[in-house]
Amino acid sequence: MANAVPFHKNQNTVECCFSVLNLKKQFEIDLEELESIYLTRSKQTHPDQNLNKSPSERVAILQEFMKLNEAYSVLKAPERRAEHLLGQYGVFIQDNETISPHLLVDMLDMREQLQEAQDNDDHERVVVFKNTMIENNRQNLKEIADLFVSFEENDDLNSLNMIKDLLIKFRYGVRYLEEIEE
Amino acid sequence: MSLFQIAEPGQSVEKEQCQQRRAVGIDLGTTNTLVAYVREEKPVVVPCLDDSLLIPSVVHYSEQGDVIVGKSARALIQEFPKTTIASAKRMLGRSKEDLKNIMEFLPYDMEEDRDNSQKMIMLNLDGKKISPIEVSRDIIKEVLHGASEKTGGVIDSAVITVPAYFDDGQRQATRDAGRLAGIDVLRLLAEPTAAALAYGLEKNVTGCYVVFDLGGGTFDVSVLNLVDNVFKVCAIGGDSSLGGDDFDRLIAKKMLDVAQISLNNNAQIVQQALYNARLTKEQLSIHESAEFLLPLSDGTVFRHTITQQDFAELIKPLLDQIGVICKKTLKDANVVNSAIDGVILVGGSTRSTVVSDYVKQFFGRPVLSDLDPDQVVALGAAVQADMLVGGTAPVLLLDVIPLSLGIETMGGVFEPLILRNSTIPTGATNTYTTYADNQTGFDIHVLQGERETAEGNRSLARFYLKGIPPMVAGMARVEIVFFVDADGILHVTAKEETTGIETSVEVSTSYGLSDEDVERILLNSFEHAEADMLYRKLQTARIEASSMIASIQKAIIESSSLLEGNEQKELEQSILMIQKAMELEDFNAIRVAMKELEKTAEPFVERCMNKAIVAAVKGRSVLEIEKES
Repeated sequence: MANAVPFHKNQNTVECCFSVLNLKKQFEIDLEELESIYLTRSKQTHPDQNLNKSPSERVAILQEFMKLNEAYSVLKAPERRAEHLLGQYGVFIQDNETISPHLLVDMLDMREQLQEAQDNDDHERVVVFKNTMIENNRQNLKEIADLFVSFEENDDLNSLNMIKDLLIKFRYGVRYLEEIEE
Repeated sequence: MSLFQIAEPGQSVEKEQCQQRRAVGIDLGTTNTLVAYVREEKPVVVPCLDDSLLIPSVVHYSEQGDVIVGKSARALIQEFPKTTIASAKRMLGRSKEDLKNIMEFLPYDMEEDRDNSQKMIMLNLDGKKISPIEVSRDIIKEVLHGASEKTGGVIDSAVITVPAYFDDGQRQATRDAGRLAGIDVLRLLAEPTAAALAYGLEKNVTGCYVVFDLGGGTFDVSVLNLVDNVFKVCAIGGDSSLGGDDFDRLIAKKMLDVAQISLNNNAQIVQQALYNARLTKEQLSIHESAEFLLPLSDGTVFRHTITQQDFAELIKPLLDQIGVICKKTLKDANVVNSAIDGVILVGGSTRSTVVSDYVKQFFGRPVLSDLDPDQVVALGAAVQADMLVGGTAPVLLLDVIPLSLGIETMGGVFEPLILRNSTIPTGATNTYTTYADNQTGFDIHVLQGERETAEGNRSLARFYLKGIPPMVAGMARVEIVFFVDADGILHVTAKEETTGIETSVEVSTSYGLSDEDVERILLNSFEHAEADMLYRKLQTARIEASSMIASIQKAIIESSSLLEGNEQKELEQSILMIQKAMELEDFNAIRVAMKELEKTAEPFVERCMNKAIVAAVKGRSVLEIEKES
């Protein structure tokens, strides 16, 4: 039996993904620009493009490529980008985060209904649930984007906590959708 | 060696001669194996000794200890079902449990490796133990032997392709097979990525493409973006034990059922049925219907007609499975059907009309199959091998790992550290702490898969970090570092931060070959090893010698004005000596004669070199300068 317990360090040390990619630190990003910067930088730092360099140079280049990769994958996915940006502002989501009783009750209700529809092989209803959740998640992301703008303009710390709650909600939504897929 | 540099700068004919050390691409398939290399900047498949372009991936181990590979081995399957190994790729890095669905069609005596927590399969051939890795090694050795003869070069390195969906253990096993065959494995390249590379370069394909790769025993689907000389894999999906072999099995099973023949204790007839099922399947890719024949032990012949429709119905469950995988992969890649520019067909099984119709209908996009689906993977691998040894890469491949990698934490939970579809090379670090007071050791269990419980995923390795000083629970800090290299193979390091105690594993120690395995294999091959080595040395010496002779002769003709006194006669004498030595089966004699020629030619070579340098500086050819003087 494995006996490792995840331990979360101070996440302040995480390197800013926006600066790795020379992008402005804000939630709204131009995905095409991200892609183009990533590809250009990959061509410079991928180990296969640097086969003639000395071993020590190649190690440094490899590390740079890995950093680039990580930053790219964080920024590409909106929910990861939001979480990373929150962290940059000092707000973290822990694994054992307590969630609002209100959200918990909502989620439990929705799961129960889904379970019922699945048990009755009611595909139509399952599809309705699925589409509702996809729409919910889309709304949540939009709200998150607006709140980031509000924070960036007014330095309104309260919006960061609201973003955090929305992200937790979003994650529940993702897990809910995964269950439907299975 | 200075002698080989006589060639004028920028002259390409010489390049061919000098390049006696070759890097090739090997498509080590379930059914067939191919080798390709880049000749005059184009990838070509190297024909085998019998001039066919591929050899069956079948190995027969005779009672006398002979190893027979390819067509002749395939002809022995019915006669020696237990000692003629086909589809070894399906057993690579696998346990009996993994193969339970096809076990009744594998006539071999199998056991599980006792020292190995992953219970890798070992084949027992009349008492002689052999692993699927060694079977693969023998296939690689055979194709390389043929390719060296055909290309007149010594092949010392290769890119070997693997199904994109191969997990860590299967990749390790493939790399080990290449190493045991005595070559430097430059890279393990995903088969669909190799195919995309060949299409991208040969057909100038750009945009968003799906590679649909259905081989003999494996299925991969890959979504790639081909833009601006970057081949970026967005997502891959697949099943490393689903392929055309399964179609054969379904036909054979159905037919044996109709003929009322049991699968048990009929190894020979089952193998015959499988073989004939394959022929029937191949007929069905050309004709509307085909007849399945099976000679029975009582001298009669069982006959049954199968139509396209029968076949489609028979394999429908497998196609449904494939559809689910495709859907999931498109979702992972965040791509809808309408955004796909085309679907590239790879693998012999896509020749089947039922399969290609399914692909057309599923994606509703143009289908590309103008490069031979059997060859395209080897061609792509050859291009990659050429780039890796050439030191310059006109294109960049960004590949991904197919399955998430992580560790088991308290309560049997799987915590992924690196997610599936992450671009490689990649890494991740996480810190863990102790569960109990005074816990002095850490049991670290490395897994690969997508399930939330550790149990549901594939176990790659277990190791133990000991010597943690007694502390209160939650105080120790163990940092676990994952690194996935460009082959998609995982390396793990664990370190206790307060004491600096470190332990690292390449996950191979428990999944690929253990040290004892290597020792056993080396001992087994000892009797053949010496002969193999002598043969290799002789071949190398012969090739280098002829190349040396050619360059000197060329220099004599082109730079005759630089010859002094008796030099030409002396050189010709030395060349004759080498040629005589080459007729003997003695590499030492060749080497000695080569040394002699090198010594004789040295002053002349130096003069030629100087001339060549002057010419290069002036930007003119040696011949032009020659004419002036």
